[in-house]
Amino acid sequence: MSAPDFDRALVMPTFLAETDEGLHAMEESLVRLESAPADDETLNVIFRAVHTLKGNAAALGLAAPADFSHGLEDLLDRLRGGVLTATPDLISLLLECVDTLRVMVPESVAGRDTLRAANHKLLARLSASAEGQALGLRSEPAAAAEALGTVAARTLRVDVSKLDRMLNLSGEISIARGRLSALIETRKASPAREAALDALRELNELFVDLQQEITGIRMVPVGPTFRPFLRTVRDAAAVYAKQARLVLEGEEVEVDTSVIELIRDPLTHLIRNALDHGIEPPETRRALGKPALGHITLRARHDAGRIVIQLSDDGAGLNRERIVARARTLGWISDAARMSDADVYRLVFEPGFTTADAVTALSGRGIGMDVVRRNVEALRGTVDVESRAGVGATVTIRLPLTLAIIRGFLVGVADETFVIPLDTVSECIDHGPGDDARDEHSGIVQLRGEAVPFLRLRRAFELGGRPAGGRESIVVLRHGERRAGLAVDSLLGECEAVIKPLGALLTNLPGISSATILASGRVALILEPAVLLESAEARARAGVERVRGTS
Amino acid sequence: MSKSALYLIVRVEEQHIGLPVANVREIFEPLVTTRVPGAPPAFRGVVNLRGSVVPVLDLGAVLGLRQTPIAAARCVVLLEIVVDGERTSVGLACDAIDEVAVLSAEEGSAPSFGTRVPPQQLFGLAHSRGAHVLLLDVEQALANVGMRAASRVAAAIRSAERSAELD
Repeated sequence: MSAPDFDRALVMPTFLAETDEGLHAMEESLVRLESAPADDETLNVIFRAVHTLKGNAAALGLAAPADFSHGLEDLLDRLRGGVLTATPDLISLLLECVDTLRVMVPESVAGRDTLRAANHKLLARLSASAEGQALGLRSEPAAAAEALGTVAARTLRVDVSKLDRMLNLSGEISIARGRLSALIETRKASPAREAALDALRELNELFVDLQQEITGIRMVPVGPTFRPFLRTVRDAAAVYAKQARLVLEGEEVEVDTSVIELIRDPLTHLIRNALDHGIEPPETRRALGKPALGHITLRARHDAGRIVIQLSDDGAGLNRERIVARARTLGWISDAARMSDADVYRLVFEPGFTTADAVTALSGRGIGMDVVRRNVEALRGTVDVESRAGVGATVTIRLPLTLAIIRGFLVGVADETFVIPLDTVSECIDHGPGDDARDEHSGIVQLRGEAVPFLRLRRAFELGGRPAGGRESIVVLRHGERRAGLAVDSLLGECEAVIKPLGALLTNLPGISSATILASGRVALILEPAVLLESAEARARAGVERVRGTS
Repeated sequence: MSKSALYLIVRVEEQHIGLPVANVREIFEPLVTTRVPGAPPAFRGVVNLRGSVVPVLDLGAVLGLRQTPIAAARCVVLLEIVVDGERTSVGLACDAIDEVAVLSAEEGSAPSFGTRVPPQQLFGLAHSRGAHVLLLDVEQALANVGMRAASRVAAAIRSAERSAELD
């Protein structure tokens, strides 16, 4: 092949990027093909990717990838013609080819443009498969694959940090707007004031539109993040000698780009765990009357302003006895008989549950689960696990849709203002001057026949003083399956809080996640109600006597 | 060998303290402060400095010169420091600001005792206009007041991370 007469150096980066995209598309489609072996569109995607690669490589004078793709194309042609069937073995072989090309193309661009012995061996296996496989019966056509994007949209790649900056600026504008509005409203009634208020209203509408646009740009579907997990499951299943398939649901659900970036690692971890310790070996599954092929489902959906990501498997479930035994060894619990399953399962997320010992003793579900929880909580999310012995386990992660702004509920305590994330608030009730002691750390309030425990924020935060007139309000929060409240002096309404970090010196503040700036210019702290309520529970468990002794 | 550097000399409880100018970003008057429940006592709270939330510490309390932050500090020095590899801003409330001077902490000049500030938080001792100036190693001094140092949770997380890495 003669060297082409254009400047290769200029074309190579584009070629490499395009090849990378093509190989990704091919990989995804191959895994998809496994569950829908006769889907023509999926086959076409694979065929096109290889064909394009072959053509490009030949045009650039890269002999090795061109030859290799040629061999690959032969086999794909037979697959497309219905002569061959996409068996799992064949798909493994094709995935191996993808991996080979990933290494071969950059090498060949770098100047090492010859086929290695291993490559020849793989080509030989390809042609043996192309010739040798008996004519397989094509299975029924699967449901039509989703139409792949055919219309080229006008798009632009933008650095996420620029979007971050835009979002921050819009937050600053929101604060300044609040100040302006407060200034105008305190003026005496006059035509000028009315005109200013009119202009402000118009500004508000435009601003809300702008903010929605900015938040919207940052929203991306979870699909592209989820799809590589298909391969993760396939490869990991082989390593653990299990049979499993990953099913994706809700790929179109959108979430802020920064959230999805940060959730990828925890998900990888959970998926490996599900395969390693959830899904049983095929022979065990058969003996249990389950299909040998295990199913792992990764689904996303929106729920009450949050994104819910669920990973379910139909494996063995968590082993309560082993978890209890481990926790007892660690000295965390003495009597587990009274603990609910949910409380027991929650233990696997505790830091320190992870030890080399736990890996074997605990069907290993403890490996790095605390790290998963910490990552999720760092995103202001929650993680829960449900399990039924022999039926499977489900890990549910709930995350905010965006990390930069939250809908908050403002409350006043002493001379401070705090922000409670609105998505945790269930309702607010008035708690007039009653006969209970206002200095107590916590109490109980009756709500439609339900006894709801509440924590008095003034006492919990040691802010001193007493509420004016002895009147309090209780913000009722969803706390896991139950409800619990925070007693505050006053309710100050909803707000859009732009989240400001507290900095490296103030990390790990109990019950406080971050801060925001109010319209007045003052800083208000954003509460982490779950932590506050858990600490109240821990305090109750520890017993009043001990608390008095230590506080 | 002596190292000369620019220091901002501030006063707290009649003690002259030299803050490395390399860390100093600006000086501002005390702003409306929001208390931070659960923070160590040296924290006066957080303030809004042109849109950023900045923690403000009482320098006297940080150095153990007084038990509780005094209500009315006269000025706050904004420093930029690195805590656990993370660059962060912190305000130090002081009683007064004297001047900026080139001072040198001579090797071995830090007395092993006798100063009102623990010697490990000092670069050394210098003299300026007839007074002792304690040259403060701000990162060292502030490393011990942050929540990270105080938090057992953080220690647990770090150990979990280590064991996760070993996995």
